[in-house]
Amino acid sequence: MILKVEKLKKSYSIGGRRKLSIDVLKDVNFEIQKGETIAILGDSGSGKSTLLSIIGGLDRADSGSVTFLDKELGNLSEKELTELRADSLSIVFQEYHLLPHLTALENIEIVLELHETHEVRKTALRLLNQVGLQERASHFPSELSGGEQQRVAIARSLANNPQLLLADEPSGSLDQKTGTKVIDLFFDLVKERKMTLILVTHGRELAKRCDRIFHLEEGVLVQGDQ
Amino acid sequence: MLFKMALREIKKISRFHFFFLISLSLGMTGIIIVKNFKFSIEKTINQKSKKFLGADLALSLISPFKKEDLIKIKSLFKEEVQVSESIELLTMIKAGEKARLVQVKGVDSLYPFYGSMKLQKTGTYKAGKSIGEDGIIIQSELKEQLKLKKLDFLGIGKSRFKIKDLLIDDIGQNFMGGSFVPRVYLSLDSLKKTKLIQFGSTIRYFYLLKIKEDFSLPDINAFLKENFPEKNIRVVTPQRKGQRMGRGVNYLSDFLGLTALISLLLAVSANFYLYRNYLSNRSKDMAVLKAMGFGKLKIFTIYFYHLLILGLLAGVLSFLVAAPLVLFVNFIVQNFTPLQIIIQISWKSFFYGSFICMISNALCALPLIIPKLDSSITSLHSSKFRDRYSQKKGMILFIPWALFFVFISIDLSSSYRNGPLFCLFIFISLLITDRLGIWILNLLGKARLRGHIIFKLAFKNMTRFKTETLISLMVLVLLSSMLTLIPQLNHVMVEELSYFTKGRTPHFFLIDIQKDQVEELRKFCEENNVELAGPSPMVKAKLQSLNGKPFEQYSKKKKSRTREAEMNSFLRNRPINLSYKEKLYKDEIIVKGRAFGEKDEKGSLPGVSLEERYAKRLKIKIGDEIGMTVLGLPLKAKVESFRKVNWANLKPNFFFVFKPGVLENYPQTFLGTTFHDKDKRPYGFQMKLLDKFPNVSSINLKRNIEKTRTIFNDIVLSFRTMTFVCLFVGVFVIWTIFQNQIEQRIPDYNLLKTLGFSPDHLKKIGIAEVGLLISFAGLFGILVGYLLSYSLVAIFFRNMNEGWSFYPWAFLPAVLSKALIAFLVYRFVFKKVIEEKAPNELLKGY
Repeated sequence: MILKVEKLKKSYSIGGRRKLSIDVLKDVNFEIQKGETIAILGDSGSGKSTLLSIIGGLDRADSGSVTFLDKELGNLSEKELTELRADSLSIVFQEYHLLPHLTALENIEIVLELHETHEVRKTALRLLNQVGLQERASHFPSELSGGEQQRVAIARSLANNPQLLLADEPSGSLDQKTGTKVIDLFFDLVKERKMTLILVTHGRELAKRCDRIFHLEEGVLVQGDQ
Repeated sequence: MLFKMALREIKKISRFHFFFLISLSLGMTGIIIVKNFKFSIEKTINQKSKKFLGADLALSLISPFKKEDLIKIKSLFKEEVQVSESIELLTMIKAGEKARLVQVKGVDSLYPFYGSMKLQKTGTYKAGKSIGEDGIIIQSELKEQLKLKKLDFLGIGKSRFKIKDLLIDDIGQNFMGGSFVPRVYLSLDSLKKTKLIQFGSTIRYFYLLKIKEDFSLPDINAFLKENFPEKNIRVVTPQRKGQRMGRGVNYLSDFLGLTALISLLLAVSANFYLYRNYLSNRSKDMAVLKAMGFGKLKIFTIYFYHLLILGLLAGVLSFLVAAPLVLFVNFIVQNFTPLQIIIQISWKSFFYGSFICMISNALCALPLIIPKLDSSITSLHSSKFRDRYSQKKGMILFIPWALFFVFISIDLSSSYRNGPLFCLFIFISLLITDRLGIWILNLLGKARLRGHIIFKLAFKNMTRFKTETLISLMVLVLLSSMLTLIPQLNHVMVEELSYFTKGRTPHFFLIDIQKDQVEELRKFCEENNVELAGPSPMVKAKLQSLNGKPFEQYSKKKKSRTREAEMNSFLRNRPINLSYKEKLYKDEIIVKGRAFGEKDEKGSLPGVSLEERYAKRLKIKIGDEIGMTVLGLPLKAKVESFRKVNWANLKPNFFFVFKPGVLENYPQTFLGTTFHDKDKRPYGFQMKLLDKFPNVSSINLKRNIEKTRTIFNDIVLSFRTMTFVCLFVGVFVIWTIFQNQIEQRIPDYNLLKTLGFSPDHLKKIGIAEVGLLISFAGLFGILVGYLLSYSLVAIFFRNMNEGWSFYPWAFLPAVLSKALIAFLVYRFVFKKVIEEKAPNELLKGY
């Protein structure tokens, strides 16, 4: 087992003087084995992204625990969480989120350089080649199409060789044709590297490509039909 | 409707509005303070100019009018004119072991027609009062200088007088407070008793006129010239007197105004950056308005109103900030400087400040608004919006603002030359920074970097966010250059002042030596082991014409709008001193024209040698014919050479020097300087000199240099204060820019965090970026500051003797300010944004 989530709760306060507390995650429990891929299905505002943030160590839960690689995330300091994100985790976002002032190649290189990898350029070019963008290496994000940007983001997410890959609607901003191509590439790479994947989506077809499906409904996670 | 839409923009109270208003109002504060300073001087001059002169008109001349002359002058006016006569001369007086040069002023009972003198014992002295027989009024500082314990008797010339009162506040005392020579008042009859009025003495006769009717100054000038051509009459109006008295303070406020302009420029640069970001967030609003059918003009009007309202608010804010500061400046001026002005806050400065803020805002935003208005709805909607204006077209849009800036500089410096030149220097510096910055950033951007990821990312941030980097760079360069410029200029001025104290300094300057006393004085000095330079003859004259054309006369109608016009008018109308000698001093060099002493050609006019800088100012060339009058007698000369004069030797030096054989028969006195051995007390010599030659006056040069230094120190203090204002505005402005930049980059920081960069990494990237930027801008700015100071000295202060000299420590304020900025950015921006915010807070950027 690589990740175990137990009795996870998270609520947010909204509004001005009359603050309202909204329970986003009420009681989330699940675990995932190494090399397994799971999909979390849910409507907009169901708490999918919040769950992903907590697992990714970007946010903290109100109660409950997230154990990743035998480490309880709630007990880790900001520095330890940062190290964990750098070494063992990667996130692919819906909006790609590439650094606009760096080229496609440089966006991948910074992750490799953070890990003090040898042959940074060679490795980055190999990753770009894997996503079919070697020729677009020197282009800035503003010069790439949405699909190309997401492929660079996927290549970047693989750069630190993560043990767990988190993906938040990776094809959500793309048209259907491009989305399918990107997702095919994404799953090919995940399978090839035998990576553990948590995919958050509201698309049933996409979810079906994972080993297991969970439904997040009103803050509660329920095992799906696959 | 459009105005309402603009108001709605303002109502959205945002960080943008807050920083925009604070930055502009701080930048404007310095100008409002300087403007109030100027308004106060203007007001004082306008209100008191008649009191400064004591009359409606004054005539000054070196030989007295006869009774019939005065009747003739009075006949010029329809209504009865009252005339008050006074006589001024310089003389030495002594008390115990102390001797001082004083200005003795003999007045009649009508003096002064306007204003009054403030006396210590009897209050005020006004027209109608009489000083009385055997009595004198002395300036209070003279009592201190002569170490008088009580109001005793004092000897002047051949008589002794009882000191009746002490003069605390004199008529016509200049704004800088006091004069180099203290004044003694006595009646005209008493003055006659002193026997100091003798042929050849430096005496001026003053006739103050009280005129009930309106009069025409050109008519009076023409009348005097026609009826008294030999008299060399100087006509002084209350306005001219006021201007002359305020000249020193006006120059000070002119240069302070230019320094204050820098803080406005800093603020405008920051606001340009802030408004650029504000407008890029409003691109989609513009697209919506366009889609709704709003035309370019209507959309422009909304943003124009928005900027005008912001300008007005900034004007109000700056006035509110400046008002207590003006009161504080007044407190400092009243208590710690010799300036005789009450500085008050004027409503005019509010309108002035608001006008500048409003227009500057509107013009500065043109290069940002117009390209957006010219863009299509689709491109405005796009997150990748970039205007398609060429660089040349973009630069043209800056011209209206640049012209407006030049206009403000002319107004603040009261000069069509100094203001625009100052702006030119600033614009060239900024243009060089921009061009050089782009070139370096392009070069570095292409470079394949090696080294740590922190350094690489910092470097890429700098080279890829070009506009942000360039704006920060320009503001930092501007700040560094100004903070280097001011101490460097300060150093140049200190050096200029110490110029006269370098080498062997004479102790006394002797004036009013009579021709028949020259040999006796030489012998006297030899006997007392004192070295005497000179004595050199001095003949007073007045310039009349150049190559047959008369020099322009001062005219009331042609009021001098600028300092240059004022100075040229002053030089043309000033009496000149001529001299003659066989040989020039060793350090007096002919730089152009014939060698000194060569015989004049037969039948030609006598040759004269002119001081080179004086000739340049009056645009006189070699071979020109100069027409002069000496006591009404015409004298013509041909310019045969220009000389470089070493004014630092403090020997009798003159602008006009003739060869012997031309001036001997004109009325003349002699000047000399004395050098004393350091171990001997020069005051004993001064007392002996006074006993032997009572008509010869000796000016203590060393003491006067010290007095000049005190005034100069006050000027330096005001420059330093303005530097602090600049520094404060600069630090705030740069802090604002960095804060805004970092806020814009929060999404990038969030992303780096998710990629595994720790807050420590992010802080290091930020610090490395700011450090690189500050170091480059600091170095370049310091270089620009030195170059700027060199150019300013070469152009504005070209009459200085010492010229520009390098001051190695001038860079320190710039370096210290950069350290302060780096600390503030680190402590209050990076630390807050990166360290104190949890990752989920940072995620809000997405």
